[in-house]
Amino acid sequence: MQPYPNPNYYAQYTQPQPQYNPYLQRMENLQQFQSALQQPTVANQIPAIGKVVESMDIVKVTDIPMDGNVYYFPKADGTEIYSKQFMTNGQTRILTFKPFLEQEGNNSTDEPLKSQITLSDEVTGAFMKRFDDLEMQMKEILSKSATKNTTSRSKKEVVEDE
Amino acid sequence: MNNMLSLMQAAKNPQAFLQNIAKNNQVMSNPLAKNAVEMYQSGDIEGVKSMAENLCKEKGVTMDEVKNNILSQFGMN
Repeated sequence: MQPYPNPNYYAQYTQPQPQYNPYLQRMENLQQFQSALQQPTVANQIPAIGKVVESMDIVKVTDIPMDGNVYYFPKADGTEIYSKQFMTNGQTRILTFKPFLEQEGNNSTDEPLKSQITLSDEVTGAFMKRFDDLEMQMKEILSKSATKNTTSRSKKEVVEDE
Repeated sequence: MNNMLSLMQAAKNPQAFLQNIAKNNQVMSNPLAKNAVEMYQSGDIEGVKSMAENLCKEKGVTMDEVKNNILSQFGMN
């Protein structure tokens, strides 16, 4: 005859035992870390970001809270960002922010060159005519000076012969 | 309900009402409210009026409309 088994004998296998689960432990640590990270952002929360708009007209008619904070409205195509703010005198101020590209600075230096290249034919023709006139005048002066030199040399030769 | 009580208190004793507002940090942290209270306390009534007109303009209503709206809430319109 076998002895009656101890009721606690099976119970120790059936009852859930707390076991060390490294995955759960890491999840808890991660959650604590994330909550610690989120707390300062809540404290330093930006008052409000407006909404994406199609044009400035929508910003003008959009009501914002009268709290003096700046509300930003990015344009849908990304070319501008508007900000709207209530001033202390009760009026609203809308500012427009536009993107600044570094290449724009280089382009500005290229623009004068481009404008020189794209001079009209009329203007270019006038310049060329002026250059031609100058060239003709220079040739005349050079030819006159050459004839003067030849006449003076011939006179000198005559004097020496005498 | 609290707003109505505040309005009734303001109508009863505006000076005390403004003093209470001036002590309220939450209200005074608002630059518009702070400017309005300071203008009133310094006697710049024209400034307060101009500010009210600007706010009405921004909200797309007239001073008369706001006035009538407030009076209608008291059943005085």
